[in-house]
Parts: sequence; structure tokens; C-alpha cells
Amino acid sequence: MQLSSIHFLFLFLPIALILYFLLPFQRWRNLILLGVSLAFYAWGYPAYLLLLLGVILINWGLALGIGTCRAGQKAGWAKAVMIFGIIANLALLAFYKYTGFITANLGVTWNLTPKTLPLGISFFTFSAVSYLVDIYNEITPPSRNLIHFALYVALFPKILQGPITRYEQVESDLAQRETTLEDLADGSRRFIIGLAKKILIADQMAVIANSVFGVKFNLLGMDLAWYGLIAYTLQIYFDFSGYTDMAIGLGRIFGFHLPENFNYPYISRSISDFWRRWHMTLTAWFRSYVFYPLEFARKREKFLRQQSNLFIVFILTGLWHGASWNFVIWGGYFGLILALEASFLGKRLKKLPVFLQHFYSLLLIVLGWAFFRVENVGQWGAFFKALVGLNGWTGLENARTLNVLLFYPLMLVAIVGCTPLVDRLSQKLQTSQWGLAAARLVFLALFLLSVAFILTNGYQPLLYAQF
Amino acid sequence: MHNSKEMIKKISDILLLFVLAGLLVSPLVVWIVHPERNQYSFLEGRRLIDFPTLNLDFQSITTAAKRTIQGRFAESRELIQPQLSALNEFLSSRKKYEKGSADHFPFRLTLIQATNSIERAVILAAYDPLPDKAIPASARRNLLVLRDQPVLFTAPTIFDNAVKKSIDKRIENFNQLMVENPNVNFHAYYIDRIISSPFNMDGAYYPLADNEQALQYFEAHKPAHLIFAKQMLTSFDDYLKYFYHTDHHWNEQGAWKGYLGVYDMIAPNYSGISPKLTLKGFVTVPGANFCGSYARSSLYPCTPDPFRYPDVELPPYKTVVDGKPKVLGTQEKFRKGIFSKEPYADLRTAYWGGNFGVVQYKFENNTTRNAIIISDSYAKSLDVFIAAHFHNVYSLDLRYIGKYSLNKLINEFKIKDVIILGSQEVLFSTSWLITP
Repeated sequence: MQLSSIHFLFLFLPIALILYFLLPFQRWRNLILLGVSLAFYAWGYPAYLLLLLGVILINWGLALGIGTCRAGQKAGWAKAVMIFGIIANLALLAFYKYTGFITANLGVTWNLTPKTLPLGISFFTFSAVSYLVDIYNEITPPSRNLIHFALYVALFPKILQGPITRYEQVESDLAQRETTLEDLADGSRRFIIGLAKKILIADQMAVIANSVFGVKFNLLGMDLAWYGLIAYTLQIYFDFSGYTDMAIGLGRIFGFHLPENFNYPYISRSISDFWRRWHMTLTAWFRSYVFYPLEFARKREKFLRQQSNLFIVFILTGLWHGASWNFVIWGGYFGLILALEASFLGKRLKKLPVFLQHFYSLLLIVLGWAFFRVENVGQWGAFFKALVGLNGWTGLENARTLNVLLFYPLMLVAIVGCTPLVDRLSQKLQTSQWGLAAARLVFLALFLLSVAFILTNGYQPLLYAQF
Repeated sequence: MHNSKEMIKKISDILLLFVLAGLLVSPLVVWIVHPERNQYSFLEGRRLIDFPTLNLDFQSITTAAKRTIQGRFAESRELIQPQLSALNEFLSSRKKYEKGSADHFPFRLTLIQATNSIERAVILAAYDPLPDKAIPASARRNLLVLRDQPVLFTAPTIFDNAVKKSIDKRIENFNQLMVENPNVNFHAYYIDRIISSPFNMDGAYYPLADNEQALQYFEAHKPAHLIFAKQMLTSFDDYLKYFYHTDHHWNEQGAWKGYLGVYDMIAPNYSGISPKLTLKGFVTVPGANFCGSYARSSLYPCTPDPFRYPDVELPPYKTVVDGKPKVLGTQEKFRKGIFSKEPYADLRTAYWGGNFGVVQYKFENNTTRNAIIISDSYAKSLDVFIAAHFHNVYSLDLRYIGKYSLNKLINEFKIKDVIILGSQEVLFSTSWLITP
């Protein structure tokens, strides 16, 4: 079930809210929230509910095991259980996500290759791994309450696309939380902002991107190739950050404080800056659980240690996004740039005028999305040929033939929306009493407009849910 | 000041939440309190998807419970099994919930029309600085509308190697049919539509626009013995005159011109053909405002086409539709003013009759000559006129026929003429390949 679907908004959500707020006690509320979260998950593909329940039970048990070993001063055993848990989670992820990729590349067929990917598996397995490691590192004690742990893994606003949370970030909310009027109002507003970002911008940009990337690249001119690529750049940001806003907003309504995932990534001044602003919870996960351990393990190596670690981390980041070579190369591309920035480029960049720093970052980010979007690596040559103008300024297909010319005003709005300008304007508007009330009306209008657009055009599947 | 701002913030937050809660809950209330089923949307030309219903027999459930308590498990299982199946079906109908919630959303069409209005405003803004004479009528469909009048038409179709290959295959198909039936006259009548015409306003923006290239290619390679005629657009004004402005079909004038063209095409090989039918004029049906497929699919504010039909006296005839005697269309009712007044009702189909696999026209006239017409919905408004010159005419729409063999039909019905009538799709597309 997608957060931007009519049946979620007007069937699932009201029922979930009514059931939740009718119950007086926190314990009951947790129970009902878990129930609706599991129902939410089961809606898409009920068979995978058992898998999710298995992941919850096994990791909960393993965590208790690690905690017991730690308490009994059996650090070796605790480590062994943790390593077993990490391997088990990653093996599960690998089985569902990478079996097809591996067998295809080895040229073998295996009857057990899964046909579908369980929704959100990349997110909930990473949550589980972080939980086990944090318990081993005694950052947080293991939860004895199965409902708490199950909610941590399966909380419906975040299960499909994150944000990837660490247990300590929601531990207190799981145990004791209150939903104040401010929580409800802020959460609703945040949800509406996310819905509008997804439906009114991302899905419209998707029309351009799908049209452009759907034609043969030898028919594209430079104009259309860039138009499509910029549209995809905007689509992926508004799609994913829109979802995150919806998740954070819903979390807030139910009293949870989920971590932020985006901080205006397209105004970055370097690629390292970009990765501090884009999918922040994934970057933080890789930093905490892969990069730092690698740095620690290789602390005696001096030559290009940090650079090679960055490269490894970003290859894995690419692989996390999808089981295909384009994602691996996309990760490697950023790994290489980050390694260069860590070596010398970063210092030199800082000496450049600010607008050049922005231009450098944005150009590399946008080009990176081409690797990401064109999954067939064999097509890259044709696409980049069009992108650099080797097919001419205009090609045999153009924005009129694809009926996507009409979206350029919206694209301009979306570009402005990638900057903090809208937020600043909104804050300024809300400094006056009537501006404050007007802002609420804008939120209502956005909600109605988004619903009207969903009814008219449906909704595009969430991009990151497939990862 | 600070306190009053806080107060306004609080009040506006409460109001926002109150309205939002109302918005979120009201559809659910409507669905529960006032469920609507079996609704038809004229606007979209489809039946709406209903929520799944749960039909449980509570008496059986109660009895099953009693039997279980009594230890009569086999009987209990037998009673409960159908109820569990019903429950399972209800719970597993996820798609129906998804589609049902969208289809039965309160004020759905109003909201859809609002979205279309907004999209049109965006289109106007986007095209404002551009010189285009026609702009998209909708954000999602390849439909254009003239800037200065509400005339809808399709964006140009393309001509490329795939189209060439398709035409080659059709020509091969025609050759085969003609070789296998040497005593039958094969005719093809091409209807030029704005989609492939050089007079399409947007043609200049489409480097691959067909601009009659497909037709030229076909004419250059067609079998020598195929009797071929075409009804061409000679300007955009021709489109305005011969085609509906809200629908993809030709209008009464286009269809009548088509009849005259087909007559002229078949007459040289049909000695003794009865004289051309006499047109007394075109009759406008009072109150029939036709908003056709273009208006329906784009929801463009419709300026209706007047609905007219050619006033022609025909010899007596009967129709057999897919093997059963049936009057085609509701022409008599239209003359009495009985027709749907629903906006976007498909008056053209209602008047001429829908699309069927085989429509047989049996005329009581002096000829024994029989013909087959292979065509699509375009033929509906003229095949009766063509049929008036034959004894039996079998009008085939290949999209609605399962297995058939043209050779078999030719032999069985003693066919002398095969007339293939249509635009690019019918004449050049491989989806209309004719099974010999």
C-alpha cells in the first residue's frame, strides 16, 4: 500500500487513526499500531508478512542473546551472536535482492531465485542490523518488549522507504509518548507537504522522465536529453523526500519523532556535502556500520586508506539501491569523486567562487542520475551521446512530440522548491497572524489538490520502494 | 501580541485538524452509509468498480458453532467452509478496494474536472510565449486543440521503418488474398485523417510526422490489381467540414462523401450497379449535442457538435448482427427525439449502432451480387448505403471476430467484391491483417 493512494488516505488511515486514538493506554495503542502496521505491510503481498514476522522474532531473540552474553561478561559469545545475526539479515537481503543478479551474471539458472522483492526489505534488514550492532556496542539495551521491537521494525509510515532509524532514536517514543495538538498539527502539515511533493511535483516530473527515457536514445537531441534528465533529478528528489515527509508527518501524528532524511541536497557545494544532505539516514548507517569499522580495521594502513574505504562504502551504497551494474557503477562513480575530494579536490573546491562550487556539484549529481535511471549499461553510450549534443540540439523526438513541453512551468516551480526559498517564504508568511491562518488554508488546498490529482491521474509507484 | 499570535496559531491548527479529519473520514462514512453499486460513468465510458461485498450466512456460522460445541466437527466444517471462502475472497480483493475507493470517491468527477482545468491553465501558461496554433488539450493525451476555437484533433502520427515493415506485410497479405481469389474484386478505400495529413497544425514540430508518407509508400508498392481510391483532406478546413470537432470519427458529410467515393470506386467493375442514392439533405436532430471521444477522454470543455444524419431513401432491408436478426442503431428513436441527454453520451454509436463482428445487410433489390466490407467504426455511418447496391453485404470488424477465414466466407457467401475501408490503421497496420 502506498501512502499516496486513495485507499490508504481514506480507508486505511482514518480507520488506523480512529482505532489508535480511541484506546486510552500506551500499551494498547502500541498493539493496535503494530496490528495496522502488519496489515499495511500485508496489503501488498500477504505472503511476505511471515517473512517480516520471522525477521522480527529472530532479531529480537538474537538481541536478547547478545544482551545476555554482554551481561554475563561473555563478549566473545556476544560478538559471535551479533555476527551471526548480521550474516543472517544480509543473507536474507542477498537472497531476495541479489540472487537474480548473481545467477544472471554467472550465466546459471536457479529454480529458487525469488520472483519478487519483499517490500521494504532493504530498509527493515538494515534497521535490524543496526539494532544488533548497537546492542553489542552497548549503545542501547535490548528490548525485552517484543511489541516495541516489532514496532521499531514494522512501523507502517517508515517500513517501505525509511527513514532508516536506529533503535535509540525511537526507544523513548516506543515506551512513552504523547501526541499533543502541536504534534497533530505539525504532523498533518508535514504529511500534506510530502503528499503534495509526491503527487503535484514528482509524479508530474515522472511524466517527462518516463517519456524521455522511454524513447530510443538515438532519437533524442541534446535539448530533450537534458530536459528528461533534469526532470528525473527533480522526480527522484521530490518522490523520495515527499515520502519521507509523509512518513515523518505520520510518525509525528502517532507521537514518533523520526529522523530527517534530506537537507536540500541540490544546493550542495561538493559531493561530500551532497551525501551529508541526501538520504541522510542511509549515509549515517553506512558511516556507522561500514565506514568507521573499516577505518578502524585498517587504521595501520596509511596509503589512500580513507579514499579506498569511501570507494568501498559507495560501491556498497550503489549495490544497496539495486541489484544491477548501473547501481554499482553509480555508487563507484560517487565513491571515486568522494575519494578525489578527500584527497585534494575538496580543498581546491573551497577556493572557488560559491556559484562554481554549486555548478560542479549539481552537474555531477545530475550526471550521476543518468547512471541511476538508465538501468541498461549498454544504453549509456547512446544517452550520453545525446546529452553532449552529438545527435544535435534537437532530435527526431522533441518535447512536443512527447507532449511534455507543457510541464516546464512546473519544472521551474520544482527547481525553486529544491532550495530553502519556499521554506523561508512560508516562515515569513507565518510571522503575521493572518499569514499564519492563510498558511493553513494553503495546506488544505494542497491536500485537496493532491487528492484531485490522484483521482485523475492515479499515482506513480514510489521510486525508492523498489530498492 | 505574542499571546494573541499563539492563540490564532492554536485556533487555526484546531480548525485545520478539524477540517482535515472531516475530509479524511467523510468518504468512509459515505461508503458505509450510502454505498452505490453498478454505476456507469458516461464520462469515462466504463462501469465503475465496486467495493467487494461480504456475504456471510450468519445462521450457518451459528449452527457451525453449535455443532462444534456438540463435537460434530465434520458437519461444522461443512457449514463453515463456504463462509471462510467468502471471507477469504472478501479480504483478498485488494484491487477492488483500491479501485473502488477511487471510483466511488465523493465528488470524484468534480475533482477530476478541477484537475483538468488546472492542467489546462498550466498548458496555457506553458504555450503562451510560443507560436503554436494548436496546443495540447490535455496533459495526458496526445490531443490538440486550436488556440482560437474548440476544435479537437489528434497529434500527428509518425512514419518510420516499423510502419514501412507493417505496410509491406499488409501488401503481402493483399497479394495472397488476391492470388487465392482471382475472381473477386478487391477494393481498398483510404480515409485520410488529420493524424496523417500534412495539414495537421502540429506537423511542423514532428520531424517524423507521417504527412501521407505511409500512403505514398503503400501506393507505390500496392498490388497492381488492387482497386484503390482515397478520400483526401485538401486543407485543415476539410477537417473542420468532414470530421467531428469533439470525436475521432468523420461526421455525416465525411461519411456521405465516403459513400460517393466508394460508389465511384466499385462502379467501373460492377456493371448494372444501381444508381447512386439521392441525398435529400442532412437532418439535424434537435437537442442532440454530441460531445465525442476526444471531448470525453480529455474532458476538454465541450462545444458540442450538432448531430446530423443524411436523409436518404433506401430500399427495404434487414440486418443480422453476429448471426441474429437485429435492428442496428436507434435511428427511429432519434427521429422521435428519444436519445440520451447525458453529457458525453456516445450519440453516434447510439444512432448507427455499436461495433460488432459481423453485420449482414439483406436488401430486397434486383441484384444477386454480394460483398464483404472490412472496416472499423468509420463504416457504421455508410456501409448501409454501400450495401443498398448489393443483395447481401457482410460488414466485418476484425477486432470483434474470433477465428475466421476470408476465403471460406467468400465461397460460402458467394462474394464478388471485398471492400476494405478505413484510415491508416485498417489499411496499413498489421493488427488488421486479414486471415485468408
